Amino acid sequence: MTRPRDPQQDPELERALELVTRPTARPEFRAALRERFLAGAVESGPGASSRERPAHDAAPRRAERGPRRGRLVLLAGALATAAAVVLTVFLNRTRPAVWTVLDGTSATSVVVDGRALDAADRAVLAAALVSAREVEVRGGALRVRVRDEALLELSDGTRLSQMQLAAVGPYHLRTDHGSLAVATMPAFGQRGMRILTEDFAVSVTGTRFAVDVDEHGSCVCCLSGTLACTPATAQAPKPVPAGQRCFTARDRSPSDWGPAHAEHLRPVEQLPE
Amino acid sequence: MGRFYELYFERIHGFVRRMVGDDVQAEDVTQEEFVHLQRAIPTYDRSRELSPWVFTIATNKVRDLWRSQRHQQMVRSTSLDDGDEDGRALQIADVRAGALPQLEDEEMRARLSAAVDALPAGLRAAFVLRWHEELEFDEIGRILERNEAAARKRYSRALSELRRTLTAAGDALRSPGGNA
Repeated sequence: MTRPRDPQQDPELERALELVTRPTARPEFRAALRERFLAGAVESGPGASSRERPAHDAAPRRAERGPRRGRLVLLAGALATAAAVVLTVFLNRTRPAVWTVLDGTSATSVVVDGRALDAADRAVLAAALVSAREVEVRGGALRVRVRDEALLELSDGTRLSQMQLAAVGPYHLRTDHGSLAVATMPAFGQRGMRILTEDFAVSVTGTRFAVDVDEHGSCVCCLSGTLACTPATAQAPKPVPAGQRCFTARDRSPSDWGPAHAEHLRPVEQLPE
Repeated sequence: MGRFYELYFERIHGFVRRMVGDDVQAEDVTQEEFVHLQRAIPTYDRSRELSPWVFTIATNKVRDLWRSQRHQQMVRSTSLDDGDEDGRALQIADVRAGALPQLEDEEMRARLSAAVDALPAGLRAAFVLRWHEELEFDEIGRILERNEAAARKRYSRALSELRRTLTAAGDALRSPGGNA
């Protein structure tokens, strides 16, 4: 690649700088954003810059149009305009904050990446959660909405880690301890969510459920929809349908599948629809 | 639009990631950028160069993020004015004072990448826009709301700082307690 000459003419440094590459994105983020971007693509877009696109790209075709073709082009243009309006409305819709701390929060403080924050200062807490990797709730429950995609309630003492709740791609987090209630919202779509604990992995594509972790093991109870649970002792996931649970003991005894625990589902039921 | 995406996705994400220093926030800002582009493309003035327009939007998105963080007192103040001409953020040494250390490519890459990330935001932006994106200094100046000379100076200072950091690392390696 031909690099621009820097003002200092420092060839040694420039050779070293050739090693510095752009940070790369996660492939799944790249693919998901591309899909969304192209799904919203309007035909009137520039495609490429005047620098990067031949100047004769568009103009000659206009001169070839006859009356019939002109009507077709007008019709296509009208359809494209309508599509553009719909897409613009879609893209311009009010975008919710990434994290919103909701009423129902009774926690006194939340430790975000090792930093204790006052739960009463919701704006500060919500901003901190945007890039949080680890969260621990103290003094009560924390109820939050992630974008317009999911509601979470973390009970007192719950600790989450390995959090990756990016703009696109599946959610990923680990429940180290405590109770996590989750209700996905319609905008969650097929994004997917993976929750790990010491004892199992739960895969979700849209449902309401609770994950409870203590020193004895991990339990997932499903209120609605279906999720898949893979105990640490198993090779393949098994479905956990609505009203059912999977408990995996820390001592790695066989997992216990059965009716959901009402007390585990209670926080889920209290999350707004 | 597919071609546009292929041309610009890595460039935008790379720039944003360098500026915000966090994977999650970089993805959010990159997505914001493409949403904005989707909305703004119909009104794009084709007589203008595309890349400066795209990176001006990206820079503004990064500024918005920093403003919201500052407003909420979440992070120390970060600004594209960091490392500006008053030199408050940097103490530039004699950039020719020492030879660059002889390091394996991977180590050199890691040290340089960390050094780029550690540059004050204003210098970092100028460096990325010039080195990676190969924009002209007048374009960089417009993006950073400075004049061409200031953009040129920022880039020069960014290079000086990178050399200083590498030279210091080489000195450390050559010292008795170093690893070399």
